[in-house]
Amino acid sequence: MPTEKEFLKAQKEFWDEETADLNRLGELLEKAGAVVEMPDPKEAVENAFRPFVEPQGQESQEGGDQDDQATFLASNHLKGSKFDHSGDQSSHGNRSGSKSKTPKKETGKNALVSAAHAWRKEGVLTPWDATKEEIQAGKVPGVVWKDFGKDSETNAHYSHKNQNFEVSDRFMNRGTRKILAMHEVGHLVSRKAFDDENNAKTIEMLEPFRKDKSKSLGGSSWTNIAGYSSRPEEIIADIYASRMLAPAGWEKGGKYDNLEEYVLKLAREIGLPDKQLTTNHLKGTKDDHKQDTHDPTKGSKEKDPKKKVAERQLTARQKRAIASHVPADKKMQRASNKAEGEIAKQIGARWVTGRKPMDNVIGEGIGVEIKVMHKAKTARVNMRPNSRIRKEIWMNEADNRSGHVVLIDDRPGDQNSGHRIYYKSGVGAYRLPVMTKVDSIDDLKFMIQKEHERQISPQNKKAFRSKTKGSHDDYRAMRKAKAEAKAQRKANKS
Amino acid sequence: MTMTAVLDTEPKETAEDISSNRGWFLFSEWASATEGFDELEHLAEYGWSGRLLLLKAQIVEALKKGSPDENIQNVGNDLIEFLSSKGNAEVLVITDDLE
Repeated sequence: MPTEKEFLKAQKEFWDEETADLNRLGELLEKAGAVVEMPDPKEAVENAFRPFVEPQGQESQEGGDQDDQATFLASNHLKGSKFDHSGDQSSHGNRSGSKSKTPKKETGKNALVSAAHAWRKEGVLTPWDATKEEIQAGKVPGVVWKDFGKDSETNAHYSHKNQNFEVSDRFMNRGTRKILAMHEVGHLVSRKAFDDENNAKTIEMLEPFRKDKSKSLGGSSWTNIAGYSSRPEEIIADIYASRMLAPAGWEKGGKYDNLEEYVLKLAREIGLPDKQLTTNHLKGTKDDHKQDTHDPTKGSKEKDPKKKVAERQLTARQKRAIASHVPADKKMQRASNKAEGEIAKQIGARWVTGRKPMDNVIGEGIGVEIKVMHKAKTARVNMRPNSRIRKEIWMNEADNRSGHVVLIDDRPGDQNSGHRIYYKSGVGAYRLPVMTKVDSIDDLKFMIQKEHERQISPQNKKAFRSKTKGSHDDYRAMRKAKAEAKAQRKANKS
Repeated sequence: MTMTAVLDTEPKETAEDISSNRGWFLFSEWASATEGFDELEHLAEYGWSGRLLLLKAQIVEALKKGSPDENIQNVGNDLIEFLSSKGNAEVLVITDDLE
């Protein structure tokens, strides 16, 4: 990771090279009779120095965003010029200080904006449907094949200069090509969001999602409501991509909804589609701008089996069943695993392998249930009765065993309770208000140890065993009956 | 954190602890990397499946073919067992029960 000084120096060099090219291009265009409007060099350099430095340790979502970052930064100095290919068809007005010889003339539509519309039309190959050969043959509008080198982590990249969406083998191997493509289109919205006209408003819209209290843009990070990266330009691109693939799920008028609406407004201003891709779009019909009814019953004829399954026909009963739970999708699963692992490590717990009652155990007898909230609407730790009983049985099996629940509130925005770590002695389903707010890992370790000693005192242990005996006996009887039924099924089979 | 498998059995849904959070994480990462088992990949990606017979068959086949480590095998076997015991279910949802 370069220092900020090195980063800014690199940006300046990048800008100087780009400007030289642009000047040459400008001369050629002027000779050809085109109306040319160049950026003011002083302001352009200032813009190029905007401090969007990636925070230390952050990895980009697509593995290719360092390039996006560079083009994004470099692009800032092109705002308002003839060479601003963001496809902006709104009237920006000139920036203060920029010298315009003639009234601004609208440029043609950006190639990727045109491609984003084309991908919704009948018979047009999309980046998520096309084969490598079809892309290499130039059959997909706006998409070109590019070998980023065997060591490159890049799988897709939008070249603002060439207006091409460049893809590689890594892109073809991804099961999420559609969202990656929409994300790259979303970078056009990002550029618009951070141009001179919109920069302040965008920062204001993002403010409720800022993770820290830093005033610096470069050193700060934001909660991404639609993706992984905490960089502002990636967040805007992710929001656009997510809205193209799914309808809004936020409460109308809430801060999430507001931010999404803002992103869509900018998308409209630069001529991008603002409606969700419909099932028909996925099949390739003329249904270009119709609001998606997203009827999963229509299915799809896509080649990718994953997509085919994702948009399959569902019965009303199936829809109800899925809607009544929060399925652990991959994104959530990865985030939970990471958060749980970090906390477990910090409190010195080890992961008990297999389907054991307690996942994390400190020493021999301190069982810790760590729960991580990501999407939960209710401020409550749920624990099903059987799950609780299994933990209680584990606790009762030895005199030195105790049980503890730690809750990590990693919910975004308004959903978040305002505190991250909560603790409760014992095992069970608890509402957040009855849990103790913990300020630090050291405090958490201290509380666990103190409560462990209290729980294993002979008097408390005896009382706990007596209290739980009835339900445990019932559970054992139920397990026995299950085991017998299983054996019976096996016998019937054989 | 415990991951729970829920089936929409009628009249009342059936739920069972299927693995630890990390156990499910390992299982789903493995499932995503399998080739040719679209329903299993779908379960890993989205956390639910509506084709239970196909899913069960694919877990059996993928475990045979892939020989994953013991933790993954255990989660897969528990899932097969859970799916085998519930006749009238249409959907399987994997959840952390925080709703």
